[in-house]
Amino acid sequence: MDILERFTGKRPVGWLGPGLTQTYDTPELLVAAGVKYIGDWVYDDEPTVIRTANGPLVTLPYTVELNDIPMMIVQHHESDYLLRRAIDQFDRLYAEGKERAKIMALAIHPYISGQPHRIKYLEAIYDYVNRFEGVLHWNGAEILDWFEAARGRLGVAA
Amino acid sequence: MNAPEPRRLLPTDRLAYSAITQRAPLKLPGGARMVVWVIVNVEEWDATQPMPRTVLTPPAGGSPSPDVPNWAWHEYGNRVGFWRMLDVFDELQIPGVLAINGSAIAAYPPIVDAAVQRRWEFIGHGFTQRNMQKVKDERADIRKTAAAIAAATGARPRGWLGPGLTETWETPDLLVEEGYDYVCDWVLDDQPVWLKTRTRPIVNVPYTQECNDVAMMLIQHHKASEYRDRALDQFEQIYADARDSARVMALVLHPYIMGAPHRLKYFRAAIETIRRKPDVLLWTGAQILDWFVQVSRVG
Repeated sequence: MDILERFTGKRPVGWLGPGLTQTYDTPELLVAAGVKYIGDWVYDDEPTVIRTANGPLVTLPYTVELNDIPMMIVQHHESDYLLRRAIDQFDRLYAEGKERAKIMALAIHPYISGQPHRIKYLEAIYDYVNRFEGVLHWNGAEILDWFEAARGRLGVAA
Repeated sequence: MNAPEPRRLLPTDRLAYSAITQRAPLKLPGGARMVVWVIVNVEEWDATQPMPRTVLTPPAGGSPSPDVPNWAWHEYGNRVGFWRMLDVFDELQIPGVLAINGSAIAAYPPIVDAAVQRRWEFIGHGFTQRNMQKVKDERADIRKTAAAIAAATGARPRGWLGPGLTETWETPDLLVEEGYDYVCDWVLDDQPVWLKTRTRPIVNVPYTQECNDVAMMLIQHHKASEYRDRALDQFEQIYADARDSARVMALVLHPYIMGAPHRLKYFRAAIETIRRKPDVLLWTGAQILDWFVQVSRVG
């Protein structure tokens, strides 16, 4: 956190454990270090708030489903399956988002999706998604800000 | 008082080999050819234990504890995936069978309520999601699971599916002694069969490792569409095979797998096609059991 802050001039607000790993103390330590949201809890399509001894921590929907590590390295899918799965995931969440906002994550690693033979499928995902109205491309801090504001409007205590 | 040493029955002691083509024909009511039953497995994964299955391995390997990402990945099924799956059952009027860990009943009351409201059949699936050979007191586990289901639904479960289909040498014996009428762990036939136990026999209803999202997606790493393609291939063949004698096909789902946004539509496509066949029954396990007991003679 300190290194990122020194480099960017701004303290980061998000955290993703390496391989999403955590200890029992991770959420407490993160809040103490100034982290506002975490990506390790892949259990929902909406942000949630978890309790820690140092105050609440927001979870944002990260993914191990639409993620090139499990898909390409663990499950050994062909490169074009990233596109197929991303379209299927998007179609479903887009439909469900009609009633209540949904968040879709796409997790990529330069050494996997950046390969010459894979990159075009990543490009094609954006060609597809960009045809739809009402889709925001946000980073985690932007999702967090929206979520906090929405909870404030609904009168939910932080 | 010392209990007598339990007699160990090998699988081949419990039932004799039998060729499906050499049996007396089984007939379903109304001239139906076959039965399809759909089993949804709802589990509780203990966050303090190694996860029963994983989608992601930690960097450089090992078995982390806690394993939050894999715990959370499974929990998604009960928070989100189950509910999206339920829409398919509702829209297509599919009778559901819920294979549920005894402990999951207290952990996920809205799932239990949704299944009770729809009159789904509840079957025991271990009290916890672990190998039955690692359960300290198997009889107590089987009994406690039945009690938890009875308390939640008002009726004792009639069926049982071991977690991961695991059994000890004694499991069928204990199930009968604890009041269960059928088991699903023996995936050795397309018709129900009788298994001998040390008391009275128990029925095995055909379950599947073939049309099962755990085996297909997590072990064999197929694309989501393979669930639909395989289910329909399986269905066509069993339908043809059932020309002269009824057969049973199972479809197995886990909310954390087929309930993922990108997978659900392939289950829907499969069951929509199956639903359209007029001479195919969509039944629960208990319905299959009752029919089979009525039409078969104990060997």
